[in-house]
Order: sequence, then structure tokens, then C-alpha cells
Amino acid sequence: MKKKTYKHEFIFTLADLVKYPFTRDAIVFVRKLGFEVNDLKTAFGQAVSNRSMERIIASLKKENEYIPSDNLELEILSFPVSLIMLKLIDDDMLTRKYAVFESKRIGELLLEEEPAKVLYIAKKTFNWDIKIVTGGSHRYPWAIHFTDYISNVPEYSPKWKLVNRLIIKGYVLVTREEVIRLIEERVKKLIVERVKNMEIAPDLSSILGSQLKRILEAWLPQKTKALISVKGLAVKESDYPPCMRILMEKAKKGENLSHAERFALATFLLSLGKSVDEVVNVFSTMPDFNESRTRYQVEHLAGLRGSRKKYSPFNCENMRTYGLCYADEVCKGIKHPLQYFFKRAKRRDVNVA
Amino acid sequence: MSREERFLASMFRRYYQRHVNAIDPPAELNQREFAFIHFGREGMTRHLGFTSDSKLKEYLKSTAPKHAYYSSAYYRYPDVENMDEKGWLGADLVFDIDADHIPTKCKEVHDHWICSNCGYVGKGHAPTRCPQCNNEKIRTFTWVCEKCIDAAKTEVEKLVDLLVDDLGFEEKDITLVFSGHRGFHLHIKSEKVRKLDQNARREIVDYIRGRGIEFTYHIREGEETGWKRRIFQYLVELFLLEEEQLSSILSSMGLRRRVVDKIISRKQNILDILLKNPSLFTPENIISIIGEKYLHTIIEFLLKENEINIDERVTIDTKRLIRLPGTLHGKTGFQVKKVPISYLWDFNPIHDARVFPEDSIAVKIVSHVPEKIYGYEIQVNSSQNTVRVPLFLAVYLISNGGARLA
Repeated sequence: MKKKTYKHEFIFTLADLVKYPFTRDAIVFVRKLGFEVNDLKTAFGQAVSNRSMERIIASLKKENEYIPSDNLELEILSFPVSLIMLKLIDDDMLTRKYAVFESKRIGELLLEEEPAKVLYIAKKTFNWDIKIVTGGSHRYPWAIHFTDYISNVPEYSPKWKLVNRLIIKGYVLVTREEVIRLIEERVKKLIVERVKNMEIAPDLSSILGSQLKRILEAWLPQKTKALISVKGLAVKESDYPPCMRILMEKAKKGENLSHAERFALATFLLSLGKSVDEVVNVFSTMPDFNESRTRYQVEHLAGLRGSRKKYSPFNCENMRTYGLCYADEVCKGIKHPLQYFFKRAKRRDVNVA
Repeated sequence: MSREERFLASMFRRYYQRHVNAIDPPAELNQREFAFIHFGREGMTRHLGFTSDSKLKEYLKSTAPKHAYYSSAYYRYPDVENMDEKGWLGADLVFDIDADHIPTKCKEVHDHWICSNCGYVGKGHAPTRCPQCNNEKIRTFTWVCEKCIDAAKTEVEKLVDLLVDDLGFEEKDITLVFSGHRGFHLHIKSEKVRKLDQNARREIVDYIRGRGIEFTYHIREGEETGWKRRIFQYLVELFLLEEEQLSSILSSMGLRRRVVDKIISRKQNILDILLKNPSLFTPENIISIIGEKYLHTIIEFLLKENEINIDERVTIDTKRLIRLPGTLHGKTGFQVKKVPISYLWDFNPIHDARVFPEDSIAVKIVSHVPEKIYGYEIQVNSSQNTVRVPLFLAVYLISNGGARLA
């Protein structure tokens, strides 16, 4: 009997391309369709554009309102066109919000798939060095090269830290669910990168004008609300230690902060005497922001709920463990980010080895 | 330029004129940034790019620099000054092991430091602040010794083992380079590591240092590899010690007398689990015997004891400048030299990285220098403070601030 192998003999169906429009197969498919910029002006092109607009607007809503179109070609095309729209709008915060939305959608779909399809995507689209281990431990049937692993872990929490993983000759053993989390993270980065590196014709904004307008109508009020609240807090932020400055920067850009990052920033700000409202506002730019949930969590950290224990902010050692330390010269000799304020800035020399 | 500076410059020039073929240019040279420190010139000449090996060698021949570096990074435009416009394409994975970062006892003998403000002199590793005047500007005088080099070699060996056994690199992926002073650099040029960002590199550093280990995550059925195997081995080594020795080590971890006695009374019990039935080696079992808090203390201590001393900033930095193999180290006059990993323990700078001859020359000692360097005794003529030493040693003494021309 022929041994079962998963290598590149897997055929992606049209339905798969609809589900996973970020894959290499989908890109090839779109290229073959020969759909060009001028086609956006046609009735079909406008239908595609409307669908792209719906995708982006769906990412702004709390409830999942994602209803794919029955026209498979249209649905597949709407993904690259949505990236073009994001490029035209050129707003990092919106792009990230959309990236988080798409990656979560894709993660949910992948959980329903057979392993071969997951493996196929990881290998063919991302070039990951990954395999399904036969006869290995049942808990960790997948092995992924550690460089692909550390580049795509969703957070550097104890569970995900390389040092706590079983690693054999360069390969980290992981579960199927973990592989899907890694793929989600990669998809998120991929969308942000594709939008960032895209080159587009300037006249596109007039062709897509009505759709762009409607996206902005939905997005700008949300964004303004989030930004105003962050600004209120920005006093003296330049004096923060580099680790916290970076986290504040990320929050302002609307980058999705990991659990550890949120914990570090929230407890730090609370220690500075910021109110729960102010801290909640910092997180209002998060792609997955949910005000009541965030408020609950911040109140918990502030010791207003549950065990009534006020959580202390991470010290430098903790920050390093979670990969959040970006020490500068001033940081020399301090053990806690809060000590930073007491030290003065100094010039930095060129580092060599 | 001082007379000494002119002397060193001429010695370096002689080296580059005659031995420019000893230079070992990095792969993909045209994507690397080069940087130099020149004799008699302030600061660093940076952001240079070369299109071929011969152009680089021509530059070295004509300028004979005091220090020469290249970037671990690959750039689209290596000679552009603005770092953001260089077009970063990737970087080798680099490790720096330096005796400076390894606590060896011999430093008390051969290293010293002087406070630039009040002139206070101390032995050994320099503090961050002068104990007398609290000033931060401290000049250090560090000297090489066999013990320091051996300590660095031990770290290299541990690191190579981990890179190969755990991370799956092959020895052929790893280039080992003697730094020219008292350390080694390891370069990994694999395609797999090139695109890793700072966060990913930090994960590698944490892995190597065993930082962030939570023992409860090391319950794994089947294979014992990586950190689980290492922790297991450390515990076996610890509990195989004689009771008296074990007791003093446990006490040195800060455990109280009562706790130490309790653990020692269960020593055999622990060894049975570790040696006779390794499948019982689970956190639950060990914790039930030792207690979670104390086990944590013991493991933290063992991890610290066995830590691999790398300068982590070098590994995390994706735009590091690193010494160019084949060039000379401006503070020693020794060659930055590639060393085959299999030759590590035979490698001796005095034979393998020395470039200047043995002809003797008189120098005047101007600061504390060790009595012996690489087996050569520095016997100072007390009235003149002068000593005759081989030329290569004279270069070392002068460039490291220990002597002047007599």
C-alpha cells in the first residue's frame, strides 16, 4: 500500500480559496482571472468593491456580521480589493483592526479542517518548516522549526515561551490548535505587510470613492473617540521608560497588545496614579476593544474587584522574561520601570562586539 | 598622534601590507556595512560599503585601521548613513562570549580600574560607580590570562552543545572566531535565522540562558530533551554529592537549617526517583518530596550556576557591528581569528593569533600590569620601570594602556 504523504498533492477547491484568500493558491487564482484596475469600474467590479467594503465594515462591528457572497469569484476578489482600500485609506489602526478580524475568522475556520489542509497552508503559503509527527506523542503531534515558531507566537507568556516547550533538534512540538494560533498570528502580520508594501495607482481612490467614503463614515467616529481618550493621558509620556513608551506607542497605533503587554502597561499606569477610566481609554484603540470587559479587567488589576488585591507592575526582570524590555542607558542599574523617572537621560554610544 | 600611537600605527600598517590575505571577508560582502576606528582620528568611520573582497583589502592596506568591524546585518544600501534608509534585509545570528562577562577569580589578580575623577584604584571587576566619589566614569584595565580564555572556551563549548542538541544547528552552520582579546564570537549564517526580528532573537537568548523556565511546564510524556533533560541532570549531580557538601550547597542557596535537614533526610528517596525510575520524574513527584517553594529555589540556583554567559545585547541587536576576522584588535595587536570548533581546546592565542615577532624591545611600564602574560614574566627594572619584552607583547602592553615606549 502506498504510504500516505501530505506533500503538496493537496488540491485547494474554489470554496477553500473563499475561506483562505490570503494563500498563495488564492493569489495565483486571482492573477489567472486577469482582473485589472480598470475592471473595478464595471458592474462586476463595483459589486466586488461593495463586498470589500462590507468586509472592512464588518471588522468594526462587535458582532460577527460576516456573510460571504454566493458568487465565489467575487468573494475571492473582494479580499485583495479590501487591501487596496486599506492602502488608499492609509490608516495603520484600521488596517490592524481588519487584520485581527480576518485572522480570527480564519482561525475559526481552520479549527474545522483536516490536518492535511492546515499543513498545506503552513508549508505552501508561509514556507514553514513543519511536519506532522507520526508515532510521536499524541499530545503534540506537530513539529515546527523553532525559528518559524518564535517568529509567530501570539505572546511570550510562560506557555508559549520556547524555554518551556519540548524541543527536539530544532523542532518545537505543538498541538493542532497551537499551529492554528501560529497561523492566525502570521495572517495578521501578512495583511499588515501586504498593505504596507503595496504600490497602487493614484486614480484608484476616485474609482473606489463611494466605498471609501462609507468605510470612513463608519470608522472615523470610532477612531476619534479612541484617540481623544488616549491624548488626554499623553502628559509627560516622554519621561516614561522605553519599555512603556513603546507600549504606549503601540497602543496609540492600535496595535494588538499581548496579554503580558496589557498587564504591564495597565499596572504601570495605575501605579502612576492614573484612574481606571484613563487606563481603559488607552486600550480603546485595541482592535478587539470591548469597553465593559476591559473596564472589568482594569478594575481587577486596580484591586477594586475580586480578591481586592492590587497588582504590582512588572519589575525589569519580568519585563525581560516577556521580551518587553528595551533598556536604554538610563535603565542601567534600575530594577523597576518606575525607578526610571529618577534617573537622567544620557547620550548613547555606538555598540560593537 | 603620540609617539606610542605612531609606533602602533606603523606596526599595524606593516601587518596589513604583508598579510592582507589573512583577511576573511564575510559572505555577501556587498550587503554589509563596514566600520573602522583609525589611529590618530576621533570616533568611528561608519557606513562604508565595498563591492568586492579586493576593494576591502585595498582599503585595509592603505588605511591600516586600529579596529575593523562589519555588520551582522545585510542591507540593500549598506553605505547609506540613515539607518532607516539602509533597507535591512536580514542578519546573521551572533553570540558574544567574553571573559569580561564571566566571573573568574583571576580577575582580582590581573584586572584593575581607575576612577577618572578622583583617581581611586581598585582590583578586579570594575563597579558602575566609584566607591570613593560616586563618579560613573571609570577606566578599566583588563588583561588576558589562560584561565580567562579557558573560562570563555567552557562557555563556547556549552553554547555549541545547546545550539546543536536543542536548536538543531549543525557545526558547519557555526563559525567560531577568537575576538582578539579574551573572548569568542559565534556566527550562524543559516537562511533560517536571517529574518528573525529582535523579539524572536530575544526568545533565543532567553532559551539559552534558561530564563523564564516554569518547571510545571516540563511535564512531558516520552522524550527528555532540552531543558527538561538538563534540569534532570543538574538535580542528579546535586543529589549525588556527599551529605556534608550537599548540606553546605543547600544552605548557600539561602535555605534554612530545618529545610536543609529535611531535604537531606529524603536524599535517597529523591535519587531513587531520579535514577531508578526516571518516568516518575514529574514535577508532582519531586514537589511532593521537596516542596514546591524549595524546589523552585534549588532549580533557580542550579540554572544560575550553569548559565551560559553570553552578552545578550549582541545577540538581540539585528544591526550589530562585529569584528572582521583577519584584522587586528586595536587594544591587543592580536588577530581576530577563525577557529575550527574541533580545535577549540588546542587554540592558544599566543601561537594561533599572534602576528608580531619575538624580537625584544624595551618598554616603560606606566600602570598596573600582570606579572605574567601568556607565560612571559614581566620583570620590571625597578629604577627605570622598564622591561624588555618580545615585540608582540610590547604592542599589547602599549595598546592596552599598560606601557609606553622606553
